[in-house]
Amino acid sequence: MILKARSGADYVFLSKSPGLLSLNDWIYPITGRIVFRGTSRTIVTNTSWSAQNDQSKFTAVFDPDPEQILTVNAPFKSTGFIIQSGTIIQTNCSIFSFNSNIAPTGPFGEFVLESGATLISNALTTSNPIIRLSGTRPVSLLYKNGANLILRGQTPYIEAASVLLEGTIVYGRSLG
Amino acid sequence: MQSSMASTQNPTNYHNLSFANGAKKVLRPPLAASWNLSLISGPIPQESTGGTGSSNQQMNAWPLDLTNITINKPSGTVRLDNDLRFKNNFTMTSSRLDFGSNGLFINTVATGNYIFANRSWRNLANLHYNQIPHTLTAVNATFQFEDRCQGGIRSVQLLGDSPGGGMQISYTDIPGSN
Repeated sequence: MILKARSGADYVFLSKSPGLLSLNDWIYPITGRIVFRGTSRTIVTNTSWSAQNDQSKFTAVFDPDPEQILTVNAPFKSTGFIIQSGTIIQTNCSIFSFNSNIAPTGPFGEFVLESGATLISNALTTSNPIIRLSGTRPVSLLYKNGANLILRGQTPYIEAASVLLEGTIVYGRSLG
Repeated sequence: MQSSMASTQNPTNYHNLSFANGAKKVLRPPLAASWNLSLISGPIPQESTGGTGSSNQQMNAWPLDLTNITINKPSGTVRLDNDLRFKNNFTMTSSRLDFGSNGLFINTVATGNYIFANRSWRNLANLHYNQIPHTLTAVNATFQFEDRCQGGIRSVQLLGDSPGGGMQISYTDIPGSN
């Protein structure tokens, strides 16, 4: 991996050593957003991302075209998640992991499923929850009216301090 | 095996809750739904030990057979499309229940109570009240049926001593009579 940093109008090479993991602010600021748009595809492949590094602070927004499906197939760390539209599939390799490098104590971060959007979660167990904040601190979860959450995992866990389920929840596992 | 959630806050207050596909589903105690509760496909969800169901609005597609239930919906109607069975306590705090010509079975294992506070039943074919209390009061023996023809509520209240045992009430509307 190569890390570049902004210097004036351009980016300059910083490092390709493992030590770069400790550098602050890979992606920032916290008010910034990375928005996934467009047609159906896997937006996070199994080897492309991880929840190991806590130096990125931004909000991930999933906003595909109507009826398009975005698949998240790896743990994904961010300081906030908004599922704005379309359908998001969370595979059983994936966790929506909140960055604990922001709030040292207490619950932090919000996971929002907006009206009309659908999250299909295959999260299976306590070690593979739908969402969590690193360590034991929970986050808050908000499923708005008109949102759909389809649970396909055997025992889905949501590590959240406050859960507001105003949308539709379907427990839809086929086997077991 | 079960489909359930556990976390710092166990989510038990649902808005719209459905079950689909073939896996065995076990309900968490307690569970409240502020909108619809339905079974799309698959086996009937089972109660976990000591389960409590509390549900408002629309209960679809499977005969509910719950241990304890509190119906508490200050406005609007809960519509049922199957028989409603309670093994134990049935608390009618508030809500209009529309049974859609299905039956209501109270206290089926004979260890619970029926507690009436308010509201009424509509389109109830038959009321089966197992093991009625030996002392009947306004709380444990008030049954409010809606009159589909004339409007209003026909309240049936039983008071005094009873021999116990089971009781069945059928409410029949005869159009034109009063």
